[in-house]
Amino acid sequence: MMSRKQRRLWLVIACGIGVSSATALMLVAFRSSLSFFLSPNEVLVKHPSPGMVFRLGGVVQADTVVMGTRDNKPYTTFRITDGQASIPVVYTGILPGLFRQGQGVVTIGAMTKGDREFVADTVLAKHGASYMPADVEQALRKAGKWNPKFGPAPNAATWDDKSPRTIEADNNG
Amino acid sequence: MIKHVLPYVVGSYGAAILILGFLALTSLLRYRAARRRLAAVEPRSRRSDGSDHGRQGVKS
Amino acid sequence: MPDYTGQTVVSPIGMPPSRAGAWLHRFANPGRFQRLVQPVLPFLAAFAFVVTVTGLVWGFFFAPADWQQGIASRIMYVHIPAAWVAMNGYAALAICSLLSIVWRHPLADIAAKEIGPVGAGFTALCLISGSLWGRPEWGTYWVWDARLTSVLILLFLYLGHMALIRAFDNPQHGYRAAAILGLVGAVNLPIIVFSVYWWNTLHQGNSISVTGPSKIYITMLYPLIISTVGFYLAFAAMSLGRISSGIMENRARSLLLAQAERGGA
Repeated sequence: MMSRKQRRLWLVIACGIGVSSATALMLVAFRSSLSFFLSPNEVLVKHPSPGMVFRLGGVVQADTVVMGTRDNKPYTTFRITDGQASIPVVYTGILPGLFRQGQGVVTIGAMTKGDREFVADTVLAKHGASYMPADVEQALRKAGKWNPKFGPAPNAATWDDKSPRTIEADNNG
Repeated sequence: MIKHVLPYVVGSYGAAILILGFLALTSLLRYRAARRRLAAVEPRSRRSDGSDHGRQGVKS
Repeated sequence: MPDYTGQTVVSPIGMPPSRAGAWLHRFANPGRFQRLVQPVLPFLAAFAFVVTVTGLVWGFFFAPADWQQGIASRIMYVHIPAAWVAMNGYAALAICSLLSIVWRHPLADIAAKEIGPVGAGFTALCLISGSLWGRPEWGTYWVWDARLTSVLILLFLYLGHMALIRAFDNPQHGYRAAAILGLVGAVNLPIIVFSVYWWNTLHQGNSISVTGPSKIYITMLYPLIISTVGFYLAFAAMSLGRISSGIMENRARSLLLAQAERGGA
């Protein structure tokens, strides 16, 4: 014989399981629209039709950034990569402060006809999870452990509590 | 590109001071008022600790 | 007052009978709560104030600037602690809801009612500071990605709970309804935490990890830890103070009612 308390507890547990599985199913069903952007590889797989606006995200590939002016407006071409595929992007306008080679970005725009390139009308910079003072970044660079233009910071255990001098001295580590 | 980020930093800390200050101040004022009010109505000179309070008959 | 301790306590999840229940009832007694909390409260509040101010002053004036963001990185000393307190505050509210629904603790109802506004304040602070960071760093105040949207939903859950628990003439009805909302809303918590891993988001992943190394340089980590401790203490002090006030207000009201009845009879 269950007490009322016990009955209520089981009721709550049952409802909890119900609500969580309903939520989980919903999240799985809407998975694609919950993702804020598509990676280049996903774009190649899904083939969004030309002119359909979507968000393309990834890392600005090193040594692909070309800046110029067209009709008195600054324009930039670069490639966005996720390590597997890369897609050329054309953007006309002013770039956000964090934009650089090796930086994560999310761009909004559409593919041109024939899947040649992605024409972006907005570029948002995606910040990494690491926070590091300027002298630590310089030390890592000098030690040859990291060049920001080739991607995110190295394993945090190699720098998060070492003084810049130790990092620099630790050249062959 | 935004070069002057100081206003954004000041804004964040300002929001922290405003929101936390507001919450702290209202909590303090309410606590004092509640203590005073209870001391005024409490029979005898018992500590105003709110004991014996409870909803009657909510046993399950 | 309801004689909780005299009751046979049933423990449904295979615990030895009466132990867990008795423990729960001992701390759920409003009188005991007041005797326990009221003497500590001034010290807790003062300590919370000192720690929070230390953390924020350190963060604002002395923490090193990030190599890439510059001084915008100092916003994290407000944003990250506020986000943690917002989420754990909701977890506390959900636990109170569970205690209220299953065990009908009067103290849990009062606690849920008083945690609501405090948690909502921290959630709002998290959203505001994050927005002010996003404008210069991402290039936008707001995007509808999974992390930002789920935190906005957290704010609405807090606001909905606050409104619901005060919406009925009979407070018991409000407590029941709000407890259900509080429990159902708890599914949002894992979504907030894992959103940055389950889906592509503009929001970055977690900088602090319990299992691996933190991705924050140590001189930036110290003020972050201090302001986090400060925010938690502030949350505790403000919540406990409000719960205590709520108990005193209820008691004063019932005393007045009793007096009026005696006078009227």
